[in-house]
Amino acid sequence: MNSMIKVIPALAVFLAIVTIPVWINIGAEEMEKPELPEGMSECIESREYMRANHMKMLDQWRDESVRGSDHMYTNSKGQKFEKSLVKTCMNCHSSQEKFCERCHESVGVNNYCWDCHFTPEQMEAN
Amino acid sequence: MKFKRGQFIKLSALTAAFAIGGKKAISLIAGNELLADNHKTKADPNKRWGMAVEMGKCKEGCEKCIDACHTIHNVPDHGNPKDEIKWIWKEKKSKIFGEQVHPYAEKNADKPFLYMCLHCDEPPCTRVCPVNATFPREDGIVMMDFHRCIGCRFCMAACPYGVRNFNFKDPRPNIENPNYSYPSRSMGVVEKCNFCNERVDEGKVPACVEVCPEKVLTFGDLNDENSEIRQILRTRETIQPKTELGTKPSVFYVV
Repeated sequence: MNSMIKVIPALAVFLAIVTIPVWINIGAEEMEKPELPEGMSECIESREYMRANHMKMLDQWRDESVRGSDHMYTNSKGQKFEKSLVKTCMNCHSSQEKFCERCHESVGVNNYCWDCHFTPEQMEAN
Repeated sequence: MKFKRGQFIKLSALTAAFAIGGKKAISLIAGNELLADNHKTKADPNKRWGMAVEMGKCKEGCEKCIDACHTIHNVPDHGNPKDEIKWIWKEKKSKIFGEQVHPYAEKNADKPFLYMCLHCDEPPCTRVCPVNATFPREDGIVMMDFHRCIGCRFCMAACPYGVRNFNFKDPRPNIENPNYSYPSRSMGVVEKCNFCNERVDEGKVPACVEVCPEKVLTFGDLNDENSEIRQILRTRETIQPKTELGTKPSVFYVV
């Protein structure tokens, strides 16, 4: 029974540390939702598909266009799109900060697309 | 710790089994093999792109081809030779052709020659790249996949022509007029001329060829007997640097 004197405070400290994310975020503002292009109901594939697979698609596009010289994507409806982040994706999703970054930032994804590719913001500024 | 004979045999068998079946097991767990190297390419394997350079026509002081290339590809100007990045430039004849230029050539040895990646048919750079970031395309272009480059610079050591440059600095601040439809590079990446792969895929000729007012550069398919470049190679005297290495460059100099 003597050992409980040490165990209980230790347990309390442990719980406090584990639940830190909850305490820190109490009362925090809700995450800003990414801004979708107005007047559009669907991306080049369905919304659900894009949400789940956009990163895989971009990866595949990159490999196929750079390494395979295959620059055209045919979607499930048979429509064709150029496999290009800047020319196709960002043509509708016209803001990197309000679209890409809002999600990526809150989920802690650090992608380096924009180290080399120019964002719509950078294009507009010039 | 003491090893018994039985234990030793068991452990060896397990190791051997892993060595043989390990790769298979990993691919079973990880699911997919390296996609990038397996998908089909649309580059035409029957073509071999090449270039003929007629320096006799090139005007002194004209750098239109260099400017065009460096502008559309966002090549930075860091303003010092140590960090210099260049895709096409004018190099002293003696530097390119080395032993072929004798001391009696005198000033002629300094004559500037247009120089760029020679897009070898047997490129040493692609052999040493540990991540396949640089690779020979089916149509003969020696490509750089900047996404993949890890900056080890093996390719720079392997290239006998010294046409590769390394980004020691972030190029972004020193790109004067960015071409927003083409990406820049990031720090720690090797770059070089890609024979304007993005234009070739659209059926255009490289930018340097297009802008040259004197038609110094001729771009074409070396496998096509009737192409303009084959016409030049058939009728004119041409030389290539360091052919003894067996690199088989695709760029030819008309003398």
